[in-house]
Amino acid sequence: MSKKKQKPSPAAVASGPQAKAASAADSEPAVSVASTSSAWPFVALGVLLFGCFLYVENTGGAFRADVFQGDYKTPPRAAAKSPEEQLLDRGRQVYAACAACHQPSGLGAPGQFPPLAGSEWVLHENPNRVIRLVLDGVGGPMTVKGAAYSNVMVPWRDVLSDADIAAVASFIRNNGDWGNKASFVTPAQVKAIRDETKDRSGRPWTADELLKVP
Amino acid sequence: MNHGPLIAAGAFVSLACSWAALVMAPQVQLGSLAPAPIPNTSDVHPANRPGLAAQGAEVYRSLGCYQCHTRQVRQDALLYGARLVDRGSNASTINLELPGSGRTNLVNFNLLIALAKSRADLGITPVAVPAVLAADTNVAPVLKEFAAELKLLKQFDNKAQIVRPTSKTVNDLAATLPVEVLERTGPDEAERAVKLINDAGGKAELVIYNLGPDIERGWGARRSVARDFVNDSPVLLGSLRAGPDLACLGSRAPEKFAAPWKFASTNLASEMEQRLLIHLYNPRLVAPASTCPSAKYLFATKQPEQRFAGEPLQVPGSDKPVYPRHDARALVAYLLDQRLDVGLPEAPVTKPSVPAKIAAAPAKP
Amino acid sequence: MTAPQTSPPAACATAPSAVAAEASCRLPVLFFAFSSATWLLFGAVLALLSSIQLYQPTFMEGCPWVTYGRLRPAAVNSLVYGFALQAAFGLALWLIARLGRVELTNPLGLFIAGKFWNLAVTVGVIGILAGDATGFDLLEFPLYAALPLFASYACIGAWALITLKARTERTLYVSLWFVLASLLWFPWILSSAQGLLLGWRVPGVVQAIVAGWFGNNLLQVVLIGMALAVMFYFVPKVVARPLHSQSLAQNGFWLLLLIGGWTGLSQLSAVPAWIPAVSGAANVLLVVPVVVLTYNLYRTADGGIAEAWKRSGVFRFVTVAVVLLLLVTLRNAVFGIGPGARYTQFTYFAGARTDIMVLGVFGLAALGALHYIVPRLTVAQDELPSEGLVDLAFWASVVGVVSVAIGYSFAGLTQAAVGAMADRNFLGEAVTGVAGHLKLVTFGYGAIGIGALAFLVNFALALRRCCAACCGGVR
Repeated sequence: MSKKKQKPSPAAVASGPQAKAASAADSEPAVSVASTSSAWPFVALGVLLFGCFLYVENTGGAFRADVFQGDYKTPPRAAAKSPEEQLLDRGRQVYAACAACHQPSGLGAPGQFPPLAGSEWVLHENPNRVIRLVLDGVGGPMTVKGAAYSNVMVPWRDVLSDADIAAVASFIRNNGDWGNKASFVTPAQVKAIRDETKDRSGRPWTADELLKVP
Repeated sequence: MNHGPLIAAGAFVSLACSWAALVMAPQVQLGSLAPAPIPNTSDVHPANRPGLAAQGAEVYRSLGCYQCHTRQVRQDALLYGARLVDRGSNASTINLELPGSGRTNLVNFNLLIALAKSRADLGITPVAVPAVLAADTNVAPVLKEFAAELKLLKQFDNKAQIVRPTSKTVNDLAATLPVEVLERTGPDEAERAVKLINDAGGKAELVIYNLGPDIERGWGARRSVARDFVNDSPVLLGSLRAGPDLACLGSRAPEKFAAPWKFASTNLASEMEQRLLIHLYNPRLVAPASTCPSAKYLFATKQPEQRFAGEPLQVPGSDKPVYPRHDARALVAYLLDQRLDVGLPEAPVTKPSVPAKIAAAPAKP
Repeated sequence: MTAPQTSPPAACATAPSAVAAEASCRLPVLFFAFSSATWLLFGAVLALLSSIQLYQPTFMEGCPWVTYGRLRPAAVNSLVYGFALQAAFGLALWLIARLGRVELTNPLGLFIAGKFWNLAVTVGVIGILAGDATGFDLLEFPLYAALPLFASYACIGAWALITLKARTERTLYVSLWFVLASLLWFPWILSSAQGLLLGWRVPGVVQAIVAGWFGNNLLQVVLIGMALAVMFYFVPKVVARPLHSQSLAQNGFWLLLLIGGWTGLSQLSAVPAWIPAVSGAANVLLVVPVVVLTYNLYRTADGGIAEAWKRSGVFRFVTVAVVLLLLVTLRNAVFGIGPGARYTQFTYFAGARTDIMVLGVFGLAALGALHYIVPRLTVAQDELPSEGLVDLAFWASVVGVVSVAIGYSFAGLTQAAVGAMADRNFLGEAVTGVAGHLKLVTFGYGAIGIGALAFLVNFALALRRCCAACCGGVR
């Protein structure tokens, strides 16, 4: 910082106590000529600044918008999901294989692949029909939501386990995005039907046969 | 420093620095926050306020309630734990059916080892297997493997200088389910325990402990985060607790209020509404120590003409009913709309475990 | 900057004398002085009434206009906008005229703009009492009062800056740096905050952050800056010595501007963790410029403090204000970070910061300065007519501010102790347990009101003498 030369104000130059009394009223404060710059404020600032960096490092949550707990650097890991949520998550993953035909939106393709969203076959009060559908596939003419379809769905008996079929069946029956809400499916139910129908040897169901299932 | 423009420029730059850091940066980070979907429902949190509650927000602002109440829950620490939900079974599980009990008692040996690895402060005792069962060709290799694992565990303990007590064992721990295997530890230990138990064929889940005096007082299940206020304008967070916090008023249990009461009727929502209306009318009737100003002007003494004015309010200590005006009902609807019990990605919540009906375990697994 | 600073003879010849410069200030500065003191009295009374309601809820109950939730923001905003900012304008104008040796530009216009400011503040306070408060701390005036407020400041600020530009004394003394910074800072933060909160609204908690940023800048830079301008003027002047160090003054000034705007948000909750962390760190860093500035003042006066204290009323006010500035900065630093901040969050302890800064640091400094300026502008003397009233004003204000600070602080610590333990009864201990401390706060506001009243009576005496002398009793 450069030294400042003091500018003598007109009134302050007067000497003598009388003039001093008079000039005291009119004089403005001035800055000392002899002042030198010193570095101690910057040293103190540097030390405190270092401390501040440490403090912000430890309590600043890594400057993230989603960290509200100061000593964390990432948002907290997700809590456990309920068994239903876990089942639906797993079903969503299994459904990826079905999405090729039935579409991720569950709407299928008109005339080709029937929709699952709002489908009365999916939303039937018990999952017996849908489990059989997944295990052994379906073929031939079928009416879904008033539209006629005539196609073949491959069996998944040997590809998916009981748990997987239960998961995907639960998922399509409960997908909120599609507006479906029905009961969940347990692996035990799938196993029971698998054993019951093990003599079909992969013969796809027809719509009429399925309608006979309660 | 004799140039005015120089000082002005310097002042502008200084202000721009603090503006960029404390106004622009938060807006960039939080400006596009939207309500988060609640899993497995089509709801979002925070939900849009219904009309009466939205009008109640205006009454809350107009009366200046935010001068004495906050609507934010604070949290000191977020810790993790592991909860054992199911003992499960895998290749090293044997069926210890006790004679005459008629019950299947599956003993998952791998689970015992996994629990012992997670809890260095608990001992582990081998399970007493009747000799006839121990000679079974399916069971013998399992027991042999268990003995080998025990030996490995002891070696590990010796190296790490862990001494396990014999009074408390993991066998006792796993007796009743669900049970917290680890409580209030860091995320890594908890996840390690969950993984060990899941690999052993059991079922364990990660639980989250939200800790802090506000939460222990029952004022909320988790801290308030920025997302909880995206629908509020003006935000009315409050900065003074001359009165209790209101963030979770709509989902608070009667015994957690500052002036607790015993839930008396069958309809908690309507009982709380009645109580809040009486509190608005004269807080001293509900909480004698309260310094909340009464809002008698929100109530009419004469029955209003409109047919949809709602039920009159019977005030204790007075035989004449008062008629809450629209503002009173709106404010109470707003207060009852304050909920914070849903978990968010940045502030998760774990529902507390409800101990299962204890099916009498004939022998410890 | 190292060349001899002799102004050209022509400018020297046209430079008005101190008396002439002051004469041009008479109308606007006296008006600002009078109205700010009146608002101080009014605000102190409102604050007193609202503080009674904290422990006596049946006081004035039943009328929505005076419920605590409306009375308290009315009190705070009338103190900040009615008293503090008007006093700041008056002081700024006087300092510019005196230190720049220039006559004020358009005194009548300034006077009319001041009237409009008063009208806007009155409308705003009535709006708050009617229930139209915006919900943002220190920015509670509804839009219909906030816009005229900004418009009248635009005139006041513009004329003040034009006057500054036209100054004949080209050297800018330290006080004028603070005055210039405050005059510019205020409209920038006001327009920013009002634009982001009342105009194009930012969403959610960002509103709380912006409101906190505005309030902090208003207190820490604008008002404390003006208080420092007063301190740096009167301390060297009363002890009749030059200021100790130019470089320390410069360093302190720039560091205050740079760091001051970042403080004050350390007790925000429901925001990402970095915001209270950064702001808390700034609270600690702010200690450096404040220590630098107060050290400068101390070295200037060192050795002559006792004598100046006895001699000059202004010096007493200013000295207490300096001490309070240092103390409140240390208080903010200690209770602004980490466990201290969490402990006192949401308590009266944290809320007391506004009162101590507005009434203590700025209020005492401004009141002291007005005790010098008003007699200079009315009866051309350095002291107001009644010395007893000067003493009363001083002691009442100091006792009042200290009582408010101690009352709120101890009430806050009691609340904090209850808040930190979940099993302690909130109603029994945190509400009824702080009634005693809050009674001290009521007493404090009453004392501040008495101090304001003493100044107003003194003012009236000076005016009467001035009118009698100037106009020979004929008006």
